[in-house]
Parts: sequence; structure tokens; C-alpha cells
Amino acid sequence: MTTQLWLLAGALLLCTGLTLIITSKNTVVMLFGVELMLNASNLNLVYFDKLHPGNQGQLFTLFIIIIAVCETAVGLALVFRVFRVLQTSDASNLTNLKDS
Amino acid sequence: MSPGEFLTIVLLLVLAFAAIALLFIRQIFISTLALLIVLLDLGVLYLLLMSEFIGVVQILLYAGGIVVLVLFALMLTTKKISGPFDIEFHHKVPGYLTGIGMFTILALAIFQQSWQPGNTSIASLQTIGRDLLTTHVLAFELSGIILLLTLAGASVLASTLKNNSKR
Repeated sequence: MTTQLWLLAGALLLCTGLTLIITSKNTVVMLFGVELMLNASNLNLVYFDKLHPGNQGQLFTLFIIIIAVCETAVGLALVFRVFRVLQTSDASNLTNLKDS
Repeated sequence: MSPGEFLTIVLLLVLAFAAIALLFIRQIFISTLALLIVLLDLGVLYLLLMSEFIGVVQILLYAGGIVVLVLFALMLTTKKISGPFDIEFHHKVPGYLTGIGMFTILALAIFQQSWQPGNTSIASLQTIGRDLLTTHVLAFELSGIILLLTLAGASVLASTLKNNSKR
């Protein structure tokens, strides 16, 4: 029964992240959604690492955390840059390409 | 029910509540605090799963690093004209339908599968460190290089040099 609870928590995090990405207008909050989805995979990996011998799951989780940090840094830098040019962080206003 | 199981269930409930609350909070700082609750809660859950290393990394990197970075970005990119730091939501019906539908499918798949209670192996910190520097040394070094390049690139992207900021 406990296994199902852990996996349900992971599934809930994934679906919440997906819904947050779809429904939110703010680009920073969309990044929150990406973080939630990455953390859902981390939760599942650490739990399955506990069920199986070896520590592959924990190592994979470590690399996912590193990639998530990179993604957040670049994403926030892009948000900041777009805000300086267009004075908005609303994703539905970002409709212009360069020189248009 | 042992105290460990009770604590696990309480923490999982807090995790679910904070994650769902993120969908409905309209003030962006409270939303960030809900994200912080989710990340810290996950860190404690990793500690409960005997993965101390990942738990500490989660608390240090996510709760310490990313949330501070997000707070900085929020303060720099939020304008006060549209109310006090409000988040606006759109596409509510398709978003919630997608989320609920996907959760239903995943829950059905989880409950249809019969899960074997495993041998609850515990990987010690020493074996993780040894594996990082022997079997997985290429991925470890590459992730270090990626982290360096990304942080340099992010600071270049966000820099306020006069000649490459076109207003």
C-alpha cells in the first residue's frame, strides 16, 4: 500500500506541474511547473532506488538535479532578458520575433 | 502503523496539498513559498527513504539556491501596475482536464500493477562517492562542465551591457 502512495505522490506532482504550465500566464510560474515535473521524476527514481540493489537511482537523481539547476538559471535569465526588452513577463504577450 | 509510516503519510499529504495549492494561489510570493514547501518536503522525504545525500543536495540546491534565484527574478520582473504581484491564469478548463485526465490514467496504471516490496537496499554515502568517481566519472565531469557553461551563459544573457541591449 505504501508503494502506491509514493507513486501517487509522484504522479500528482507531475500532473500539477503540467497543469501549472498550461494554466499560468506568468513565465516564472511556468518555470515552477517545470520544477515540479522534474521533482516528480526525482521522487520516483529515489523510491525505486530504495527497492532495487545498487545506487543507480540516486546517481541519476543527482544528475537530474544538476540539469534542473542549469535549466532554471537559463530560464530565469531569459525571462529577465525578455522583461527588459518587452516590459512584460506574460507569456501570451511574447508574440514578436526579432525585427518584426 | 509505525511512527516512520505515519510521518511519511503526513509528509506526502503536505506535499500533495502544497502542490495543488500552487494551482490556485494568485499572489506570486505566496506561490514561491508553496514551491519552497514542496521542495523542502521532498528533501525530508528523501531523508526518510535513507537517501541522505540526495536529501541534503535537494535542500541545499533547490530550497537554498533555486528559490533565492526565483525570488530575485520575481522582484526584477514584476510590475506593480497589475495589482500587488498577481498571477493571472488562463486556459483553465483544458489545463485542469489535462491534469485530472493524466492523473487518472497514471493512478489506474499504478493500482493495476502489483508492486513487489523490494529488499529496501540502502546505498551508503561511500558507495555513491566511489561510483561517482569511478563508474560514472564521465557523466560527473560533463555535468560540472555543463554547470559552468550554463551559469556563464546565463550571466551573459542577463547582463546589462549597453551595446547588446536593444530597447
